[in-house]
Amino acid sequence: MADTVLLMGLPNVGKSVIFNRLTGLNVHVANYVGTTVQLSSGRLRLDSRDFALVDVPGTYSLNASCEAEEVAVDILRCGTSRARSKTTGRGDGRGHDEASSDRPAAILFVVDATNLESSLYLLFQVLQYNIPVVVSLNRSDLSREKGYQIDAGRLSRELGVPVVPTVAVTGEGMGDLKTVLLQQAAASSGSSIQADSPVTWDRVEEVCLRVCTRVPHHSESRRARWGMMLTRPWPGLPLCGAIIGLVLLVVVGVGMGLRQFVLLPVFRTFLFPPLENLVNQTIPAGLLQNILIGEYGFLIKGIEWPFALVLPYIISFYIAMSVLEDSGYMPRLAVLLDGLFNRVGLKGSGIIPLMLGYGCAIPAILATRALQSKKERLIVTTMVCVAVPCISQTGAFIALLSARSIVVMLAVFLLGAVAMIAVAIVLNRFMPGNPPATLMEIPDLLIPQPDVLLKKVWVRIRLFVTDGALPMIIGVAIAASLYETGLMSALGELARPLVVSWLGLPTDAAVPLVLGILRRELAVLPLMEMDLTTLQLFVGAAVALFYVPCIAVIATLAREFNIRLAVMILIVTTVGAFLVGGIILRIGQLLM
Amino acid sequence: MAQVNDALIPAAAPAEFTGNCARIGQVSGEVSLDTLCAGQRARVQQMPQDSLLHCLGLRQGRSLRMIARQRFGGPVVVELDGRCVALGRSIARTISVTGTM
Repeated sequence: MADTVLLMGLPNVGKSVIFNRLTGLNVHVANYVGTTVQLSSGRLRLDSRDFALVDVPGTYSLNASCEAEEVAVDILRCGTSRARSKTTGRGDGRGHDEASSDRPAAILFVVDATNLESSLYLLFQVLQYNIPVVVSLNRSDLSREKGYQIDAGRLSRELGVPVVPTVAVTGEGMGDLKTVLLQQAAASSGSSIQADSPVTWDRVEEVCLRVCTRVPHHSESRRARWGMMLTRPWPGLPLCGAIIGLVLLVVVGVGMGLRQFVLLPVFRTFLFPPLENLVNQTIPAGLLQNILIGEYGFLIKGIEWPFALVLPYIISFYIAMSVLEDSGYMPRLAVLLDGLFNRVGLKGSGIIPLMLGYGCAIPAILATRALQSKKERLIVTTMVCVAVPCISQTGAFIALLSARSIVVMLAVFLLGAVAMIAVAIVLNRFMPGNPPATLMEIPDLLIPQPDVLLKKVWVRIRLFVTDGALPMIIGVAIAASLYETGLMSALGELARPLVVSWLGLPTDAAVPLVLGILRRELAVLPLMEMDLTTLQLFVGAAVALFYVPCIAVIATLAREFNIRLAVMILIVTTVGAFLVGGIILRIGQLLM
Repeated sequence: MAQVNDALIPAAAPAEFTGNCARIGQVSGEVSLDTLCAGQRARVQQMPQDSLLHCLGLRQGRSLRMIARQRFGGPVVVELDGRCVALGRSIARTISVTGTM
């Protein structure tokens, strides 16, 4: 097994950015505390030696006062394997103090130059484990801007370990870091200077005074002023409304533009006609040809739906979301809205997984790990599963409704928002306990780096192609086969009482309900081919909105929580969807 | 680093009217942190011995500036050492400070 190098430091100092730079992997990065919620490991090649670089979630200290700190302490004591088994609940939890064979070979400790004191406090605690350490003095560009100058050489002498200045987001200093890391990994022990004396804030402050000088003639940057403005209720709250409005506009506008003016024309002019010709010439008219290019033509819809209708919104959503994440706006949003969230048993930080949920529920559910209480995790997870449409489904709603009725489209999204709040109110009432009081750091406002941003969007597109488009194409193939073999009408007959009598939809609408289990947008897209009335559109869309989150989400729920919750969500969403759909139909019929 | 940081903090922002905070210049003696107005500076006198609070820069003798008091009963935001920290009101109430100019 390769030797382990641990990547450690305070939360939100750029550890994951360095991890990505050194391993070539793409773990999620963002400008807020608690972005990394699981240990990721990647191969780090130094010269000809291979190491396993482990990205340890950031902590403020090693006092083991929360789960993340306990995990960090465990890893330092006995390597990653035992800590992993502990996080999954399978470890025996004993024998921490014996030096195990997979004790890390070295630690790459990331010091935040803009927050030297807290970084050094944690570093001093880490140094006590007597493991070779290399310090990456990161974000020195930002500290200079704030008016500090940190003497890296002096710091290195004070600590007794090598210090390499870096700017992770631009890649500055990564080469030096590798060289020094290789040298240190060969060493057998850590710093000789700091290991024994107890870690106190007084000692930390002394070191800071010795290595840090203030650069004169500094004025507050425009970025810092905006950062403050966005944090205060005035003008922060009105700006928050404006920013969310702008994000919606960008997501919908750019998505629709890409679809209407780029992807659809390209597909319909250059791809589909030759494809249809080819099939017409090579495959005799009949069942197989119909499955390929007929009404649910798997070659046509199987390409058009994922790549022309959904992909544009994946692109526009993740561009907007990445800007929000990397700029540091999300924690500001959390703080501005914290008081409102408190009323439904949540903290403002719950808004981060909720917003991620509008992209995809799976990362949202994982992100709830950063929430402090079990109650918050359960409430936010249920809100996302029941009432937050993922971006693929949103794209499908726009494709289905924007041309027919903007009012219905807005009503569907409003219905989702109301349901989300209702879920939170109900769960808060039935679950005991209040959320612990808010205590969070608000990071500096930063300008997102274009290359980091583009990479994030690219990762999302790739993930959509492998994990999203493929199941969708399979779904369309199933639909095409069902339709052309006549099985679909049989299925429709079976579901008639529910689909036709209760929901007032045509028998064909049984198909999206079956496919919707596979992928959320497949509960919507087949409705496009059915020539529905406006009321039927609203009913169909509402059912799809509340219907089962896709099968991958159910699996994630079972893994992150337990089977019971997964089954409960399955039942609540299915029953809820049909109930709401039927009620809307009856109210609609009364009004019309 | 305390001396370094006092100079770093820019000129006081205008006090924001929230109805329930002491006005600038009226802070005398020890008050709890949640009663400061936006823009006011103060020094931490007494506070709970909490590891996370210490790590976020809240320690006895530290100077800070109130940045914002959030609406809807939300947290207060203070600036310490050039970094911003949001503290729920219930935590802010346990921290006593004296006003500084």
